[in-house]
Amino acid sequence: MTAVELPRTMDRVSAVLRGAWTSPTAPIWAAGVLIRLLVMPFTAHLDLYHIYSRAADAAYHGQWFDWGSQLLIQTVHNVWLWLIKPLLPGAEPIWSRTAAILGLGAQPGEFRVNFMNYALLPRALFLMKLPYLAADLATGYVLTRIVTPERRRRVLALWLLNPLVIYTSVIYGRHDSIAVLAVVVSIWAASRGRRYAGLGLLGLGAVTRFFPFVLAPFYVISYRRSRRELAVLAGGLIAIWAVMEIAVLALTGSSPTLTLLNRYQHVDYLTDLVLPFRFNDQLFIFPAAYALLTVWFFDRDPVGSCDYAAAGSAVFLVMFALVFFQPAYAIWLVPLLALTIDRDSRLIGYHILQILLLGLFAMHWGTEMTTDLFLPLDPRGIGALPDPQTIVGAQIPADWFLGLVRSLFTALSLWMAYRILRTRFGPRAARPDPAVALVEVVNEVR
Amino acid sequence: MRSVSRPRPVTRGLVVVLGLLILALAPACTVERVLRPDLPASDGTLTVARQVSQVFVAPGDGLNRLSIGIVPPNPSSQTPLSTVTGGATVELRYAPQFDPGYPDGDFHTWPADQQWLGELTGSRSVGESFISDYPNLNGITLRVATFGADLSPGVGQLRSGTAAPVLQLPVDGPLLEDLPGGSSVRVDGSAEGYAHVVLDDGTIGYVQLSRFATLPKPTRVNDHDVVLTLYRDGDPTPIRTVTINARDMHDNSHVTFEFASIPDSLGAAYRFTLASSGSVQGNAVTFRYSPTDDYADGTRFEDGKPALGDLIFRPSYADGAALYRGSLDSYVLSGQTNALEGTFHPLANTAGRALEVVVKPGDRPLDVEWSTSRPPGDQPLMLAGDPGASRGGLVLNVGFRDDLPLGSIAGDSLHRVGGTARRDPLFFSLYGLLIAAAAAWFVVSLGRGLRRGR
Repeated sequence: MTAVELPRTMDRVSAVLRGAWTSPTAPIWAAGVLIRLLVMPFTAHLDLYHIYSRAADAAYHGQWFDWGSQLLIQTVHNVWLWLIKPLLPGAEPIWSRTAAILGLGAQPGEFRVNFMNYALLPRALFLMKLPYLAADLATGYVLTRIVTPERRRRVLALWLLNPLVIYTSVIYGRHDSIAVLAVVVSIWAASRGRRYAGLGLLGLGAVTRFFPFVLAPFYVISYRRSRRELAVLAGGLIAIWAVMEIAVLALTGSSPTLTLLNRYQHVDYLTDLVLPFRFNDQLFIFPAAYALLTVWFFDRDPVGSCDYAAAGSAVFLVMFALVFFQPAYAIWLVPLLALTIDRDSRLIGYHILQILLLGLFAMHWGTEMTTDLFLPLDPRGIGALPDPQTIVGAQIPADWFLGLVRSLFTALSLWMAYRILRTRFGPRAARPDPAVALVEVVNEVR
Repeated sequence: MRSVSRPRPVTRGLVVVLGLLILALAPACTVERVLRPDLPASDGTLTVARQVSQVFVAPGDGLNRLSIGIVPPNPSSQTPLSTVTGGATVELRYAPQFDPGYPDGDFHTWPADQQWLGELTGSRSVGESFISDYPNLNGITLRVATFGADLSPGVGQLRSGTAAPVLQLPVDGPLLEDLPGGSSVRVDGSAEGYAHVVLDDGTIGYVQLSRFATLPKPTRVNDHDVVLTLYRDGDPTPIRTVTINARDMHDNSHVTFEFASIPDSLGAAYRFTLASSGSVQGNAVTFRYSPTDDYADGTRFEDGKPALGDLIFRPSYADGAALYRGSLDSYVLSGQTNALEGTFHPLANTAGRALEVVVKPGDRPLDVEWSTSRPPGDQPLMLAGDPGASRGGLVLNVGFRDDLPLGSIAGDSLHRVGGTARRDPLFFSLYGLLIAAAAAWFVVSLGRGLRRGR
C-alpha cells in the first residue's frame, strides 16, 4: 500500500464505521447480527452434525475426498473444521463414525450422546455456524448493492430479518446461505455487465446446492444479447457441469450427476406430484410447470436483472408449491423474493403468511424440525417435550391439518408467482382498441 | 422520503401485556396431546369373543381419552350404536412386564455387549438400585448362568409315552415338530429350562428338560443358597429377603426372586443385593450385567460400592386394580374416524409407563379394527384364545391432558448454559462482549434513526 493509498483506505474505513451507526440500514444490520448471535451457540439439527462429522474425516484423519457428492460445500466444511480444530480441544471423539457411509449417515444416538455432551458445545456450535453467519451478512450486503439506495432498507430487512433465513442458517445450521451468496453475487456481477463471471458464480452455486440449477436457463435467457451469445452462455453452463463432472470423476471415481440422480431422495421430490394416465404413462407436474415457465419466459424476450429476479422468484415459488421439501430449504424462496417484492406491501403480506404457514408445516417432521433444534439448551427437558403433531392430533387429525396448511401454502405461492409475473411482464401485447380495429376492418373491405 | 410511523402507545401496551401474559402462563401451560398424531388406517377387522388387549407406552401423564376403532353400524340402517357395542367394557391397566425402561429387554435376546459377572462366591455381593415405576412390586427377575449345571453335551432320552414338542425358541417359540416319546436326541446345552437339541436332519430346537428321562451328567452341581435382599434405597434395613437354592436355577435363564407384594412401590427407590456366602469357585452361579450404564435411574453395586454398568434385571409386579374401567356403550362414535371415543378424569402416573387397554365384549362379540401399525412400545395386539391372531396393533389412540414443564425447562436451560459458561469462560466472555456490542449497535442506530424520523 502506497503512502497515498493509506489515508484513502483509512477514510473509507472511517466512513464505513460512521455508516454502521448512522446509515438507514444500520438498525437492520444490528438486529440481524444480534438475533443470530443470540441463537448460534444453543441450537442445532442433526444435519449440521452430519456435515461436520464428514468434515472430521478430513480434518482429523486426512481423508479429504472421501465424500464424493456435494464435494464443494463439503470441502468448505473440511477446510473450516481443519482451521477451527485447535479451538475445539478434545473434540475428536464427538464426531460420528458413520457420517460418510452413504445410506447410514450420522446417527441420532451419536448426536445426542457424543456431540451434546461435549464440554465446549456452545463454542463448537458458534464456530461451526460462523461461515453461515458470514454468508448471511455478505448476502445481505450484496443484495443492497444490487438495488437503488431507497430500496435497500426493505430488501435488507426482507433477507436479514427473515425468519426463514434465520431458521435455516443459525437455528437449524444448514449451509444453504453459502450457495445463496453465490447466486446473489452472480446477479450483482451480471447487473454490472460481468455476465460470464455471473454465470460462473451461478454454476458455483449450483454445484454447492441443487437449487440454483433451476435458475440457469432463466439466467442465460435474461442476460443474452444475441442468439450467438445465448449459445455461448448455454455452452458455458454445460462446460461448468462437464468440468465438475470430470474433476469429481477423476478424484473419486464416481459421477456426481449419476450419484445425484440415482441415490438422492431429493431428486425424487421433484417428481412426487404426478398425474397418472393409463399403461403407466404419467405426467410429472413440477417438470411440466417448470418447462412451461421456461418457454414462456423465453417467449417474452426478457432483458436484465429485474426480469431475471422476477422470473427466478416465480420459479422458486412454483417449485416450493409443487414439490415436497423440508422447511430449511425454504431459504431459497427469500433472496429473489427480496429483490422482487420489496415495493409491494401486499406481496410482503403474502410472504409473511407464507412464513407462518411454513412454521406450521415444520410440524410435519415432528420434534425433529421444531423443539429438537433447541436440544443443546437442555437435552433431557427439551427431548421430553411432546411432538407438536400429537398436540395438533388431540384437536384434529394431524395429517388433515398439515395437508390443509400445505394446500394453503401452495395456493399462496402460486398466486404470488402469478402476481409477480403479471406485475413484471404484463399482458403480452395490448389488445387492439375496438374502434381502431373497426377502422382497419373497414379499410380492408374497401 | 416517507417516514416510518412509530408504534402507537396502545399497540405498544398491548404487546407488553401480551408478552407478560405469555411469560406468566407459559410455565404452567397445560396441553392436550395424543399418543399418535392420527388414528392409524384400518387393515382389517377382528371379531372379539372373549377379550382383546393392546399394550402401549404412554408418553405423558394425565391419560384421559381413548379412541378405539370398531366396525360401526351401517349409517343407513338407523341402528343404534349400542347394538354394536352390546355392553362391552374397556379397561386400562399397568403392563410392567412390557416396560422398555428396565435393563432386561427382549426375553429371547442375549446382546453380545452384555457379560457375566463371574461366580458369586463367599463374601462377594452384587446389587443394583432402581426406581419402581409401578405399584405392587413383588419380585426381581435376573439372568443367571449355572456353568452347565443342567447337562453336559451328549445324548438324552425322552420319557416314554407322550410326544415331546420341539420349539424353535425356549418357552414360547413356535412348534417345529414333535419327537416320539422314548426317542433319543443329541443335546448340547440348555436355556430357560429347555435342552438345546440337534435333530437328525440338523434342525436345532428346544425341548423342556422335564420331558427327558435321562440326560448327560451335568458339568457341575451348584447347591448353595443365593439370597436376594431388598432395601428401600438409602435405608440399611432389609424389607424383603428371598432365598433360592442354586440347584433350582437353570443355565442361561431368567430367574425371578419373588416376594410379598409391596402395594406402595409406585415411584419408590429400591436397592437389592445378591449374595451366596456358602458358594465357592466351581459351585456357584453368576448373573448377567451390562458394562455400560444403560439404566439411568439406577446404579450397580459391587460389595456395596458403586460400580460401572448395570445388572440385567426387571422388577415384577402383582396384578393390581384397573386404572380405569368404562362401558363402550357410553362412548361416542366419531363420524370422521369411525372410532369410539370416550373421555374420563385424567390419570396420574402414566408417563413413560407401559399400559394395556383391555376390551371385553358384552352380550355379543365385538368387531374391532386392527392395523399393521403398532402403537409406541411396538407390542402386537393380543386376542384371548387366539395366539395366532394378527401381529399388528389395535386401531387405537390415547389422549393426555398434561402440564408442559416450560418453566423447569427454562430453568434447566439457564442452569446448563451457566454450567457451560463456567467450563468455557474464555468463549463466553468474548460471546458476551459480542452480544453487548450488537445490542448497543442496535439501540444506538435505532435511536438515531427514530430521531431522524426514519
